Amino acid sequence: MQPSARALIEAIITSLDEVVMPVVTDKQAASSLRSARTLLDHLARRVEGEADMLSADNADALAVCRAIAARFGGHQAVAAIAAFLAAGPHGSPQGRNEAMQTVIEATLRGLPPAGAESDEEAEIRAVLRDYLGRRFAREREMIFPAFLGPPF
Amino acid sequence: MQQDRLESYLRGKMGDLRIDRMIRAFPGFSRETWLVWFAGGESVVVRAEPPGGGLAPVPFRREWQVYEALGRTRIPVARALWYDAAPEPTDGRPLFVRQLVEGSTYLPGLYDDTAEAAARRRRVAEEHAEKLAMLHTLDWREAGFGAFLPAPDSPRDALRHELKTWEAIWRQVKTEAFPIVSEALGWLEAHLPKAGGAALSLCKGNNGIGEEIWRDDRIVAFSDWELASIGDPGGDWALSQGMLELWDRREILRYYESITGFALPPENFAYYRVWDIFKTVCALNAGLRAFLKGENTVLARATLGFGKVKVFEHLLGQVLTMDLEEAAAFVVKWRKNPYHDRRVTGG
Repeated sequence: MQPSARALIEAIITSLDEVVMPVVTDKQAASSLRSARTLLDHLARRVEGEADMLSADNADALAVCRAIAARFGGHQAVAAIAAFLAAGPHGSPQGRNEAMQTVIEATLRGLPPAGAESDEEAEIRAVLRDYLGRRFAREREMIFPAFLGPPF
Repeated sequence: MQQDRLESYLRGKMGDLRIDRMIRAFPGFSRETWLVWFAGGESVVVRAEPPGGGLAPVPFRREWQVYEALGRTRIPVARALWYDAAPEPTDGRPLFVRQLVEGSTYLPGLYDDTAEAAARRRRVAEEHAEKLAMLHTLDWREAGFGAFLPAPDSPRDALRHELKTWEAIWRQVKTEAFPIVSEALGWLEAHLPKAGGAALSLCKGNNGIGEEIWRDDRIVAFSDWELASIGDPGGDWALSQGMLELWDRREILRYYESITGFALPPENFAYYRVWDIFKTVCALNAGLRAFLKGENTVLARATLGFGKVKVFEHLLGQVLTMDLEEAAAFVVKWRKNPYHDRRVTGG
């Protein structure tokens, strides 16, 4: 049996907390150590959850883009989504994810301000915001516990 | 920065001298700051553009211009000595040199749970309010700041001017797509306070503990001017690093207003609390660019520019369905100031 990546990273964090930090007196060094600890905490969560999170998020985002294109395909605001789908999603999971975030941002920016949209535009915004809410829920456990402490 | 190279450089500028000791100011992530003491008693501060550029996405030279102009006013600030666009000790990264004012950027023991510390917090809050009032009532036009700091047309236009300025910066510096931040910018525009600003003042940007030089609980020099702007003075209170929590918030503001003679619209405070989240996202994420390019691998660039930005992005996502007061109350619960954390400051 081998230790998991998460177990190894957590052991490093414990070692830094209990063995190294107490004897570090230089402010810059202690700050760098705190930052390293924070990033390791994030990595411990990310190493186990990132692949599943990306897979689920890519599937969700793609379904949302397809649904919007199918329903509002003639609307100027969804031109970026239509172009993305026409090109066909490709590349690494991270690359596809970033590409879809770019398309979603462009679509939202192309809408009139919230409250001043047509019914169609309000629905496009609502669908995209709902998706972004689900995305945040998926990534939350990788972000919040790690990055709420002192950042430096 | 290597001591021998810096010493050789400073000799060329200041004559025969020898560096007795030099330390890098903590935390100094936005811009490198070196405190240098010479044998014989003189001392200077060398402020340099970090590798890959500073955190704040504003021109480095502008901060020098602010120091230079402030030197001709009554605002407490270190005397500006010179600016060098391509100095040798930093391999060409620009730097400027100013006089060193002895003191500390933070106040150990200030948050102790004692009656003495509580009384001290009140004195520190009043001192900060007095010095901010001095800054905000400065005649910035007369002092020449209009020559290099863009100014809104009127106090009424001040908050929109700030929003549009930073929105444009955000579009240039962000490291990836942030759909929710785009939506948040729409929310911020829709919730701009009707009253506008209280005045048009020279504003410092980040201020308070962790930013200024303090000695005997007095601000002896305002320090770090990279976010200086002409705008609504209320914005400085939003970036005051928790100074309004040191004592009774209403009393602090009443004291400040009694000195300045203008009243800060209460609605603006709620707005600035949310605005501060966006502006912080913008500045911190800008700092991540150099990390991603491998030009600056200081770990805090990642914890701030990626981690904190992610946290704040999530907060902005939740704000979108809230009204202004609700949003302000929500974000303030999550906004912790590292300078008020003993793990960071000691003491």
